[in-house]
Order: sequence, then C-alpha cells, then structure tokens
Amino acid sequence: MNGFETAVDRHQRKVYTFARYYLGSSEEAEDVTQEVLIKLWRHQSKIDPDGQHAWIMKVTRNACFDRLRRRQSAAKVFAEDPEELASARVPADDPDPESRAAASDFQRHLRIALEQLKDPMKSIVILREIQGLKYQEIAETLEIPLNTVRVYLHRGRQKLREQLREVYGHVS
Amino acid sequence: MSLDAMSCEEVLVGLESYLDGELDAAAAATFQAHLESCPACAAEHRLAEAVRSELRALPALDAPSSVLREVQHEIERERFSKPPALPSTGRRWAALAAAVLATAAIGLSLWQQSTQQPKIEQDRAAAEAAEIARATEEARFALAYMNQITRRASLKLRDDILIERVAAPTVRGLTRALTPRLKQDREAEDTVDSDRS
Repeated sequence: MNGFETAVDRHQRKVYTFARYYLGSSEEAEDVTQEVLIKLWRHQSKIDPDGQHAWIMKVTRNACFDRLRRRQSAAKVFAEDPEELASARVPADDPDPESRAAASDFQRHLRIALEQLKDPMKSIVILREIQGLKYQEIAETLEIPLNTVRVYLHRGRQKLREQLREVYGHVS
Repeated sequence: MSLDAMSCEEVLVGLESYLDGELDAAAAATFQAHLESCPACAAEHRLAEAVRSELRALPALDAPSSVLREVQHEIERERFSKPPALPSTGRRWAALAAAVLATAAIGLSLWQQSTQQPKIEQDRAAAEAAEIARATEEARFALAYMNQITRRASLKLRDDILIERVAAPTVRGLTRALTPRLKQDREAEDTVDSDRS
C-alpha cells in the first residue's frame, strides 16, 4: 500500500462519519468524502505529517459547512414553503441503512436534533461525543481556544436536551 | 456556584460540567445532594445523561467502497493528464526513453484493463449510472416542484382573469341591461299596491 492509500485507509472513516452526522445525508457525505480525499492527495506533500489529522478534519468541516450553506440558500430561492421542500427531500422513512438500524426512537430524534444544531456547537458535539476527540485536538482542528470548546460543547448538549425534552418530556 | 445549597437554576447551568466531572469534590457533593432532593432537577439530569450516552453510542461509519474507487479514478485521471517537466540537457535522452516506456506501459495497462479486466469498467459504469440516477432524481424533484408552483400560479391567474374579464363585466352588463326593466317592474308593483290600498 502506498503512502496515499495508507492515508485514505486511516482517514476515510473519520471524514465520512463527521460528514454523515453533520449533513444528515449519506449522498452528500459521500460527495464531501470524495472531495476531501482528493484534496488530501493534491496537498499531501505540503502537509506536516503530525498535523495531517487536524488538517483533514478542518477541511472536512469546512466542506460540510459550505454544502449546508448552499443547501439553505437553494431552499430560500426555490421554496414557497421551506419545510415542504425539506420534507420532500428527506422522506420520513429514510431508507438509509444506518437510520433503519438506529437502536431506538430516542436515538433517531437525537440524530435529527443534532443535524439541526448550529455550528460550531454541531461540529464540537460530533468531534467530541461521537468521534472521541480530546478538547485540545478539537481546539487545534477548529482553531478556537480550549475553553471555548468546552463552553460550546455544553451549550450544544443543552440545546439537544431542550429539543428532546419537547419530544419526550423527561426521561424516567 | 454556592456550596451551601444550590438553586435549581444553578443546577441547570452547571449540569453539563457536573456530568463531565469538571466540578471539584465539594461542588460535586453539593450538586449531588440537590439532585437527590429535587425530582425536577433529577429528571433533567437523567435526560442529560441519556443525551450524552446516546451520542457516544452512535457508530463510526465507513465510506462506501464506491467513493474510494471514485477517488482512485479521479487521481489516475489527474496523474495521467499532467505533462512531465523538461529535464536538464544531460539527462534528456534518458528522460525521453523513460517517457516512451511509461506511455507504452500505460497503453498496455489500459489495453489489459479493456480486454482482461472488464470489471473495473463495469464498476466505473455502475458508479456513473448511480450518479446519473441520482441527478435524474434531483431533476425530477425540481421539475415536480416547479410544476406545482406553476400550477398554483396558473390557477390563481385563471381565477383572476375569470373574475376580472368575465364575471365582473357580465355582472355589469346584466345590471345595465336589466336596470330599466327592474325599475319598470318596481313601478308597476307600487301602482298595484297603491290601488289596493
């Protein structure tokens, strides 16, 4: 396996995982993953090997952010009723295998609430809670202070809690 | 944060820090005491714990192999479309010979792929077909939505035209035509009534 293939093997899962949970769409996550890995190939000789992980997650997050912004702009242009457009695009019974396999209703609602979270809370929640990055790693990836990571993480989880409280009340 | 006793508001503010083990021992103990005595805060704590644990239970996901194949194809396309740099005079012949050999090797590889490895082409065709199907679906959705907007717009336009150009003039015309006759009928009724009285 050559150097790039090794890098792909090492990074494809974290890129796709982040994009999938950020965008809520397997199709868009696939596009982002492809885009990011090709960028990695083009720039690999210029990237410090110790900083490769932070670089790739930064590029992934930026690609997801751009894609979401384009999606929201398109919704404003075309939709009389943005919710109608959104519901037409994402059917209630998502045929995606990961969705079908979701262990519980709670988890499904949690994923929906996560998709609706604003950045940087969304990025930080995904990086910390799903992908297990340390605060320092997140701070380097997003280029924000360490304490800001902590604040946004707590705020993000609080927002998720508020969304789920509306659906479930409190957990017994 | 007061260590004597905590208000519910203080608990809600500090809940995530408590969950992450960021409070010192004394503060954590006070927090715990409040949770044990306040059912509402205890319920909020349970919800916060559930959110955190369910997030951590979400699985890491592998990119589909079709994505990785597309990356490989794109890299090959870029690699072979770049022209080689000109070498210094002393190595020019060697570089030219290497380029000829490389071209022959690529040609042979492509010939082998086309005759002996149809699967690569099949995979590429399948990936392209999937992409076309996705684009078709997107276009279909966009057309259906435009159709819906047009239908709504055209129905409203039809109604506006009917009201303005057909119904309203008809009512005005009938009114003008019938007014003298209606006036006559009213006058005749008035005459009959006055005769009766």
